[in-house]
Amino acid sequence: MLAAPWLCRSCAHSLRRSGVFVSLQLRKASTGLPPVLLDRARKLAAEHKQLTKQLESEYEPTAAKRAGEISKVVAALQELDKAKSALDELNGLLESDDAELRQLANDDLDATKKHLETLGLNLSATLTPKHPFADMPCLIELHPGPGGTEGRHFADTLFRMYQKYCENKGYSARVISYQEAEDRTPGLDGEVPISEAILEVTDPGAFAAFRGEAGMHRVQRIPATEKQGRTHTSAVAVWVLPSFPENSTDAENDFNNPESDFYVDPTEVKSEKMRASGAGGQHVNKTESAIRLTHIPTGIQVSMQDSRSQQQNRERAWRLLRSRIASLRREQREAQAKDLRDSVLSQSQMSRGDKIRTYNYQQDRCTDHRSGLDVHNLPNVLQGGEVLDKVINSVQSWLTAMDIRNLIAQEEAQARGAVGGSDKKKKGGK
Amino acid sequence: MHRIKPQLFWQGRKKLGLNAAKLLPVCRTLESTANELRWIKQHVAETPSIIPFGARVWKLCDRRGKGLPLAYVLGNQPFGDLEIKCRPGVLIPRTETESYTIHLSNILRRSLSSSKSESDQHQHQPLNIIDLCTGTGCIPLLLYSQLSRSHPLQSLNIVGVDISSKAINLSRQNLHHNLHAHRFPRPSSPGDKSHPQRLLHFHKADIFSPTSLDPFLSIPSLSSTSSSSTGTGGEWDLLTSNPPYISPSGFALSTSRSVRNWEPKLALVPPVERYQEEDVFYARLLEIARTYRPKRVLMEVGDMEQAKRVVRMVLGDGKLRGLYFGNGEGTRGGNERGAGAGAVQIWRDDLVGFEGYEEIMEVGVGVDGQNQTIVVKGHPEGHGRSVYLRRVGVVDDV
Repeated sequence: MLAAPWLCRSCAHSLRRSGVFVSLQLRKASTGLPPVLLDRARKLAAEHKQLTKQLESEYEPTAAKRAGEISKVVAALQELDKAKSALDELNGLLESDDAELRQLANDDLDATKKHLETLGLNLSATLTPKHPFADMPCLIELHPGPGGTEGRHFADTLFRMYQKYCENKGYSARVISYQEAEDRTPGLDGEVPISEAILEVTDPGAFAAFRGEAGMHRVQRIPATEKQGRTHTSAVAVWVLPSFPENSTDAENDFNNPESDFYVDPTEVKSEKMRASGAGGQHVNKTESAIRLTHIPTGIQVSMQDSRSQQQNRERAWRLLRSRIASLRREQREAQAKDLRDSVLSQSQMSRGDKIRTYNYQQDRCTDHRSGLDVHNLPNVLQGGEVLDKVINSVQSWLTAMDIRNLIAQEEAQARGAVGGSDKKKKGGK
Repeated sequence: MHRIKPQLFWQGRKKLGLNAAKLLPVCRTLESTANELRWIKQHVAETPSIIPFGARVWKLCDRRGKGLPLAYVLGNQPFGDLEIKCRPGVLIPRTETESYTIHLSNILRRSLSSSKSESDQHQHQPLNIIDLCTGTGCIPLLLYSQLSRSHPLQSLNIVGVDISSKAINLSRQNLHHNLHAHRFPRPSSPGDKSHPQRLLHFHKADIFSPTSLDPFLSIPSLSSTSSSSTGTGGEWDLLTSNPPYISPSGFALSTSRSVRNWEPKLALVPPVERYQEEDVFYARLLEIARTYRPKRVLMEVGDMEQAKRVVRMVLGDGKLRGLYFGNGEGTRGGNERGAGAGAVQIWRDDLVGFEGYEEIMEVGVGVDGQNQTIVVKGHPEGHGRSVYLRRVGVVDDV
């Protein structure tokens, strides 16, 4: 609005007549979309036009696919343009001499502006790159950080928190691995120290819902083992890995496809089993059902020994290995893209090491360091209730905003004539 | 066997409780003790009883501590996605058996899927599978479970045969046990003529006595269209067997104590004194294969040496050689490119997930004085576990 705190009525009236007021408001509405994003949309529209022309003369599958990808953006842009021209028209009407017409235009103005805003959001949403694993189920891995029993206790609490959250949200979750640590001192509320736990959320799209949870979760509280009442700070690392959908015909082709991120060449995997003793088969009846797989090129090691069934352990170990490798490959690609990008936004790129959230028992508080959201009612958070949902949602919107900012930064870098445009373009178009 | 340090008992008691001290002499390591204790507790928690939880855990740990195999203590053993009941007197299903059975069912499933497009009538033609020395019935049950779920319209005729009435009783119980847990669809009853006809039976017979085995080896005609008299359909698609294969000296030396003391010797050591003693079952199995010409044969063996001996038995027999080896095309090129060429293969442990591994192995000098080579599949660190034969003209899509 205007900077002046007070305005005489006649002046206000004349201002309104001259259209200054209106143009101020208008500018505010149209700034909903950053210019770079709009530029990018225009560029894509031009590309689309060219592609359709090209496709008219001869069909080419890659071009058709690309055209299909960006057609959404073009449609959103067209609508936005239409709304804008409508606004311009209204604007012109406001300046006309007919009082009745002005009144009508004024009535329409609000609705049109709202519409414009939603269209702007729409466009930015279509421009935002969708995470390639967004539609997949996910694995949530919990690893207590260094710091002894306290971290292990809290890992158990976090594990139960996610389990209950899934229950509350109606996701189907199952426990893949739950390793109790060797020392068995009970913690607060019957916590069991764990050395590792893996929860699988099998709903498609779970990865998108939980990917904001990856990172270091910090806890500040007085541990059950503490005698002198001092507050300790420990951490639990949470990894969120995309998991391969189990019974999907599409997936079957996919992870046997060497192009896929989930493809693992079995010749690069070493399986270490208890082969040391005897001939096996009928000679022994060992209960050892552990499976350890090592992916030699990356050095990733997985081990599964939860189930009595070796077959089940083997399946789970392979799934976990695939997920970890896929996630590593994705991270490497992201790191490459990041190097290409402006370094201004580098700290927003999430990695496993960053502290992302703090659970403070004394202050009954849970803070997310990325979205900056501060909530109380910690018990509800740890029960996976609506407060946790609020936190997770705030992270979701933060992630979306971050994605858009990254995109814009990328566009700017591109505009500045940075090298290697093709790779980035592909990312942005998704 | 090395001595367990007293320190380990202390640690076990401190970290895992008193039960650990009972299990440690059998489990040897803390890690394995922790696992077994967890499984015992899980088992007790899952099966309701009026006896208190702690007392039952203690009792089971006590029995396990005396060396009784865990599968006998808990009364079951997971096998694929099934739960197989186990009882003293019947061999416990091994993980190695599980591994190759799954691989085998993958082969059958793929070959069913590829032949499915040819004709709908094909599904009326039952897939005939016979397992000799079936024990708990684990192999037929797992094959039944996998095939009936992946090909719900395919007719099946699966038979398990064992000499021990304990084993036959237990295998029938296992069928009902898994049926109640809804792990696979119900087999058709004898009078039921609806489609698909799925049969799964267990019979008691001595495989060395032709009069007792023959009735089960000839395939009954299921539908009027495919009677055995017309010559179509009266063939076994698969013959599997996990026979006793340990020599008496091997039984004394190389078996683990809990196998020696608690598992049935009948299922481990062949009773007859002929050939090399541990190979006597293979001679009989190959004799059956020669007569009934099953499309595929799978025999579990003790180690690579025994596998080679069995392969030599196949190659040394003119008729079997013609049936399964042909002119040896199956080994050339190292893969399955020579479709329908027949195959004589040795499978190692750890086949699932490592199907890509393949090597060519020499198995000795053949009748023509040339070195004979066959394909060995599976992870190179695995023991030789089974011998797989595929008849000339039969195609696996792997």
